[in-house]
Amino acid sequence: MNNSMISAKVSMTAIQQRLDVISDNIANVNTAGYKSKQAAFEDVLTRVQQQPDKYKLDGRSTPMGYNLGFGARLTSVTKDMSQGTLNETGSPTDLAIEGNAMFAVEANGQKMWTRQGAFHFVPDPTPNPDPNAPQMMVLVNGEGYFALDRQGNRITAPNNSKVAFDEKGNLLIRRGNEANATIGAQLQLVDIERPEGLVQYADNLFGLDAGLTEDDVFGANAATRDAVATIRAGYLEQSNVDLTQEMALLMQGQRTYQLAARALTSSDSMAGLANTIRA
Amino acid sequence: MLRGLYTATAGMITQQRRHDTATQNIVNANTTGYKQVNSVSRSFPEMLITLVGGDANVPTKRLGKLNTGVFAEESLSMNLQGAIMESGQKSDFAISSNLSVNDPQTGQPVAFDGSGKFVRADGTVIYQPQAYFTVRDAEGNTRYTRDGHFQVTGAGELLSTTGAQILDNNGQPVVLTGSVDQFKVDEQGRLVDAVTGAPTGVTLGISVIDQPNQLVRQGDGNFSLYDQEGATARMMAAGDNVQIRQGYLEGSNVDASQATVDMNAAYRAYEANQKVVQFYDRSLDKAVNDVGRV
Repeated sequence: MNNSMISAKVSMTAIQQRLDVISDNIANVNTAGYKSKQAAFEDVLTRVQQQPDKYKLDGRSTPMGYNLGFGARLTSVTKDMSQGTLNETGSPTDLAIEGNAMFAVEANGQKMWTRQGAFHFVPDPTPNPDPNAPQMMVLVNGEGYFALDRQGNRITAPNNSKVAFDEKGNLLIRRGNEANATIGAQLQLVDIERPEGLVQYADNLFGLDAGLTEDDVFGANAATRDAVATIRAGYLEQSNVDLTQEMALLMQGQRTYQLAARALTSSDSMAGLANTIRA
Repeated sequence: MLRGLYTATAGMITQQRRHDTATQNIVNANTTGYKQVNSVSRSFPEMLITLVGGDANVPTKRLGKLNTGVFAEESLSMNLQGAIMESGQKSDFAISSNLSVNDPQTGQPVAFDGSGKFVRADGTVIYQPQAYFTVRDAEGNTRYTRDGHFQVTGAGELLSTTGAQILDNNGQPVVLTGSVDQFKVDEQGRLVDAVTGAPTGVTLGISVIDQPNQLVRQGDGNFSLYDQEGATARMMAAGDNVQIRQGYLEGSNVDASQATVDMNAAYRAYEANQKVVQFYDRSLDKAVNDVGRV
């Protein structure tokens, strides 16, 4: 294989990977709380072909050696953590975060974080066996994971009470015919200091990268102190995918793919010419 | 052997190199901060041809000079400014530079042409100095790059897209102390406080290379400096016409249509050389097989 063929093949693979990232973003354009991904490219490690010293002639302006490249490759896929648009839903337990923060949830026994704020109350799956105790309902998000409060416990409220959230995440409970609401637990909202320390999992969940602690990614004592970001009740945050941008990148990727395929065909024809010197 | 056979073969190899260079440019048309590479060909040194044998009364037997081939001499980077595109990420940076330098002979600022060089009347060339981000790669070497798509790790280090550490103007890796939202850099490359705008004392290391043609491409967007010709790197100073834009990226400066035309031209020249080799082959075929056939 000659250099052009290798270069074109490597680059076509890289462009294909970029198209995968773009299609992932476009498919999630309606997913609440989705953060778009971006791909970055670099040119592949080049080889400097050494030239003997007697090649050094007057009028040469660069150091000795001829530079050969082998195409472009995908180096990193990063998350764009900018704010998505807020969509009013009217449900008092639908929460949208304004700012760079996340809710803490319990997923399969582990603590994880999410932006998805479509919370609702469900009957407590582990009811109190005492028949005189009031029946409780527990807060889960749209995927079914339990929301956590500032102490790390699940958030509960008595059945058939009216609930609302204020902008700090405090749960306001009004039972029956009481005039005033009481403040229940406070939703654990943590500011993100190092978004690159989060790893994305399925179901819109984020976990900590290996070797990092909560203090590294969210700042010291983020679980217990008030966050800078605020909560809007009755709204849901949509995905931050910019469809126009994704389509422009898609077209760009397509055209570069075509050019790389043209280069591959051209180098293949050249190899054919070398083969038919003596037909 | 016939002299021209080797000349044509040298031509084929050179056109292959030109084709490879054009392909490399085309596939990097989307790479941030990529600088186009141009292939420069040069003919072999001339040979003096003399007549052997023949009429003894002929006073001079010199026929003249002949070039016996061509080779791809150098791959020249073209340091034009790429297009600046907005990305909106606080960790993306673009350098926009138009440095001026005074001609030592006349004392006037040099008027560089579109590709960043100026040719004096006596034939010497002055290249326009270029600005680069300074990075340190995994082996600890200092490298230069124009790719400003940086990332902030969980520990707060500012890294390039291939994992090299970004250095400040004292040669130390840049480490962020607060949240990424508080990361703000002004046009001179100084890290400033997001609220008050006061400089924090850390400045991004923007190196100005006075002879960018002495840079050698290492791949991964990095260049290294070989100072054999006296090329130097200095940190950006106050009067330089260099702007650092946060939230923007510099695109590749490859002209895709030019690169495609170069690729086609190289292919056709390769084909022409191949035809010449074929004709030499047929001449030799006659000489070997047909002459003296009984």
